[in-house]
Amino acid sequence: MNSLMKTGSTSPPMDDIQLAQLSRTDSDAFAELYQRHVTRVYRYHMAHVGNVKDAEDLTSQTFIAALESIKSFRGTGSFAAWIFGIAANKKAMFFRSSKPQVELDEALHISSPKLASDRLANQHLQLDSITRALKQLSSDRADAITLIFFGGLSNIEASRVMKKSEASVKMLVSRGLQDLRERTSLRLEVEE
Amino acid sequence: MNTFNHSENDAIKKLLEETAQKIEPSFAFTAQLEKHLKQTHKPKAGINMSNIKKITSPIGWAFALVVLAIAFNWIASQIAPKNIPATNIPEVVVTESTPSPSPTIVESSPTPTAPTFVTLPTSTALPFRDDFDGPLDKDWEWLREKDSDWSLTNNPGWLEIIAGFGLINGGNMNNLLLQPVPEGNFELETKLKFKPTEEMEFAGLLIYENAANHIQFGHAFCHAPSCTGDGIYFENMVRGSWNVENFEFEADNLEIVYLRLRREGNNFTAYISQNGEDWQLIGTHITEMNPLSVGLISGQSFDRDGQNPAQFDYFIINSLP
Repeated sequence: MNSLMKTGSTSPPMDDIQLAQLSRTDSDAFAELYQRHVTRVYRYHMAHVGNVKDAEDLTSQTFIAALESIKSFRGTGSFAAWIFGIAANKKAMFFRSSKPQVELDEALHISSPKLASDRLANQHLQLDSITRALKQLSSDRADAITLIFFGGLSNIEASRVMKKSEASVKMLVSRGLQDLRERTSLRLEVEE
Repeated sequence: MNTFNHSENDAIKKLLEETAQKIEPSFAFTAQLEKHLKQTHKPKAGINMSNIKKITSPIGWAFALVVLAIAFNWIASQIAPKNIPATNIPEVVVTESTPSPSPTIVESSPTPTAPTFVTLPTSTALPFRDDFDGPLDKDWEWLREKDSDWSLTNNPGWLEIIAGFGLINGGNMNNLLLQPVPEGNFELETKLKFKPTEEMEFAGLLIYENAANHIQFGHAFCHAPSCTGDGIYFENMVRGSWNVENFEFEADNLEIVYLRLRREGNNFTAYISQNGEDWQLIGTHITEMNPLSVGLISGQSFDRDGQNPAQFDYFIINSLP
């Protein structure tokens, strides 16, 4: 990835905004952005859909859409906030075009080929609990929590994605955590 | 108590963070997707001036000039205006409506590249009209009525329906106001006052067979790549999947819009107007659905607590030849 470094070997790596600008003409630049963000985008989708197949589909859709519209990224905010805006839309379209009553229940019981061992199966159960718990929250609260804890966004980045103030996002996270504590089985998980 | 709550919140935060850290996409998936992205990446065409300097032969220059001419034409086509918001088209000439019983329907293109104003003929009959000045007409029936979310008195003379949470294709959208589909060809019309602000909020006209097969035409907010944000959308769901063509049309802060939706055989054509007289073609969906009901909808918000009202001034069904 030397071509993506600033001049001189001691220069720091390019930041996301520089890479995004370069991505318009350079596939390596976009690949670098992809490598930096793919895991957090995947985690965000996993938290919402709870199964590997749909999370991979949504992650693919997110980055393909980002590549197609990279020219529209103007660098006024962070690249992470921009790509999570796309991810949030893909997630919204997914739930809009699917049949929620069936999907929610089935999604939580799809076995994942990647999670075959006992240890991973245990992790899958933990994720199942969280996915199920998030479904019980208002969509805004669930979004704020997944963007911050699974997407790794800052409050201000999440506020850009959600088009709300930073204070509103903090409030949504706080109330979301409170809901998880009071109304969901996560409380039991924590106590255990 | 607060200290206790904070420590419990911290424990849940820790659980969320730990779980997130354990989620990793498989190497096979990330490598395959990266390969796909690299293959589909199409760098912008550019002209390298150093290459031009190397052209010395007349044939080379002739070839270069042809390339430049093609590039010029392409650039000219790219900067030509494509989609002008309805609010910016004051000077379009619209011919008067004619009472001809055999209307001329303008053939729609899949995606109009420029506003196309057409003459819509006066209908031959007036089977139904509700101005929402009194109780709802007896022909109406609510599907999943939520009494607290609609009103005829909040804005007298208008029917107000809150754009609440619920998906029409999920079978959990409230307050679909429907009546039996008319026989033969017909045209629906309404005047809608609505400012969608939340993702997927939608209000407008509906031609409905069931949750998996329907057509909706109205004002919505959508930020997906195939959307234009605050816009007019004409959508067709077929066997549970949305048709990729949604005829997105930038609403540009439009609050009141007139909507017309025509059925002529398997052709379903949508028009909008800002004054109820000059109509602009949005597009045509061609589908073999078997509609059972027509009516009005407002909802599909992703905000569970959303209370955004959509207001309808009237609803008309005209028959068409």
